[in-house]
Amino acid sequence: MLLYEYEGKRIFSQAGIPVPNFVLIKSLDEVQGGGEKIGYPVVLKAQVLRGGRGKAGLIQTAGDLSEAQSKIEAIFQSEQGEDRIERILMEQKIEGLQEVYLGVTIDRLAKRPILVVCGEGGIDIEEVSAKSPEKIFSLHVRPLQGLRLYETVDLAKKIGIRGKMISTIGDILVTLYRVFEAYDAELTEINPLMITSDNRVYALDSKMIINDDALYRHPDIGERYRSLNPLEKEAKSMGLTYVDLQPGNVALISSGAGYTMMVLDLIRSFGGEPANFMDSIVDSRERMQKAVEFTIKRAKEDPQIRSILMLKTMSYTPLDQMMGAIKDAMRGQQSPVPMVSCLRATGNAIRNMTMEEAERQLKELGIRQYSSLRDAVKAAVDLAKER
Amino acid sequence: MSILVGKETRLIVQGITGNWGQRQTLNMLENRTCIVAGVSPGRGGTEVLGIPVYDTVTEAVRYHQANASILYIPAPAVKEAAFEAIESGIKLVVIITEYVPLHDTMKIIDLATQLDAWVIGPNTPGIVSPGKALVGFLPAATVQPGGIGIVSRSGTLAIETLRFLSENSIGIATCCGIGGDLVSGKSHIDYLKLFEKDEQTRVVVLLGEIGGNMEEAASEYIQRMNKPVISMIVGRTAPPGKRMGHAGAIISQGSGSAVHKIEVLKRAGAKVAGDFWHLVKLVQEIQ
Repeated sequence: MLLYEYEGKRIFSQAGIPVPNFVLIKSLDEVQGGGEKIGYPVVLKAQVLRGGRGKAGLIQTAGDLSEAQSKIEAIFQSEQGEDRIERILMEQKIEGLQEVYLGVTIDRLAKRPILVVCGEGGIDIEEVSAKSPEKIFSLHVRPLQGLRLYETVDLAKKIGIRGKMISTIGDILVTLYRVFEAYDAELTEINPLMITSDNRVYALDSKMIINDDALYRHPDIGERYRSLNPLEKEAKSMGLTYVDLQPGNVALISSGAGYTMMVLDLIRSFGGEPANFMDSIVDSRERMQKAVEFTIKRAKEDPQIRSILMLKTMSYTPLDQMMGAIKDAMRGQQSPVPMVSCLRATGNAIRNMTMEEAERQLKELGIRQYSSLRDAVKAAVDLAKER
Repeated sequence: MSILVGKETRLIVQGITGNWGQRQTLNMLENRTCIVAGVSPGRGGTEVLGIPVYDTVTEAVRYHQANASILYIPAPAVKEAAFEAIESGIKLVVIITEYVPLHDTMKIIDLATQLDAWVIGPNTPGIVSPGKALVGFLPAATVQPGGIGIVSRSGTLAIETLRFLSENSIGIATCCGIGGDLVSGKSHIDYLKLFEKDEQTRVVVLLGEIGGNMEEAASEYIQRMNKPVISMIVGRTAPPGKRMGHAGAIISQGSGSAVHKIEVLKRAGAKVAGDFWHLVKLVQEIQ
């Protein structure tokens, strides 16, 4: 989960990484008090999760109160609806000599954290690493051992840091790594760190991504599932994994991301367009029922959805439970669009119900069942195109 | 032979007394896996399905010469359970559990690397060598033994591939799910190296997906392999920046795209299938 800049800066500040003094502005009447506290000139930064704030005019400077008021008003009014800007960070403007980039992320192949540094700050690290990899230096960290201060010395020297500043940068890197570990981060980034003429440093920006699977260890971080859209959030609150892919004409219930991506490729190869994907790997019959209900509800709400494709391969999940969930989901409501299924069951899954019986029940429900995946996908796409 | 598991596997089940652990233990027994003990702190001295339960992994290893462990442990407790297995001398640790915090996974892998243990998962359906051993919940009963080695990032993709190959009477040497998380115990390349040396395996099937660069790294080794490699990469049409459910399956900034992976794999000499039917056809042509 991506954190807002101000959340990251609070964490940095608590950990001992200096950040410019700042206040959070939520409405226009907070501007005057904020300005008095920080002192002009100030930097105004919209707190949004998307990148490219500078280019979008969402980062401004203001020399006095009236300038701050008009610029803050403009930022608040720049976006409406879902993308509405709720908070603007007002901070002390820091002048300095040099900006550097410091980051910790995960090297998936090495299966370890990696420290990444660059002698230029405020950069797009992915772009620089693609175009001028010689400017970037990195160091793997052993997860059980952590980062040692002495290991940072060479790294600091490589990006042109000299004298006493070497140990200042080293301390910042060690702290940044500690934050990375303590907060279960996938990324912690200071971009840029400003070095001033009086040998101070300030993190002018923060970027942190917390590992979703570890969020339970960080109850202090609010607004869970913030990257999900409202539909995905609604599903999540019911314990379901739903991925919205609108606009599309085929709604999909399928198992797991890998197999589903194959099916999505297949839907598109037949000329269809997936509208969404509901994961059918759930831990109970009730959840399965909810998953089917949710997908039918989506088809009712979204006129672009023209068919529902339901795929489930069972070698373990009992077929009778799956069928029960489908029947219960359809008891209270009719699907507004044709439903196609490819249910396949073997081994322990057919202990209590045969595939023939399931096929009979599906037919009764008006669901077109196919034993071949390809035929089912093609049928769902054809039905979606027909209507 | 087969890779990592076989007749010589002496498995313990950590978390055997839970519902989940018990059901899966039964399934593994039915597929001829040699399960020597279960571990569940506080439940030592009892039995589950006739299998003796111990409080610690150390006891299970001492009394039953266990050499592999499978974890049916809730995510927050996985790190300590895996540490216990690895430090008790277990050399194959299979972590089925989903949603294990990434930093825990990295620490487990760090310890495993130091003590020379092989970690499969987390978030894996496990590994199967048909007729010999099933460690996890891949379909085994309907799969015949044979000469195909399969390694997959996605569990469900591995399961469906096994089904398609079985329906076409193609037998399997070993099939393993690496794990679907951002970081997994071992990478594609590590499994390719084992398959290359394995006598039973004649053809290797590599199932990959968008995101990361595990497939690209594997390509460098494929160039030097004697055995033919057939690959399939899913997510060709996935929109960039959209997380598809797997933590790992996300394309960012143009890297990790299916197009790039397919190109690199082809250049390395792998055959690349577009879908299951194509995959079956390519396997049949080579066999």
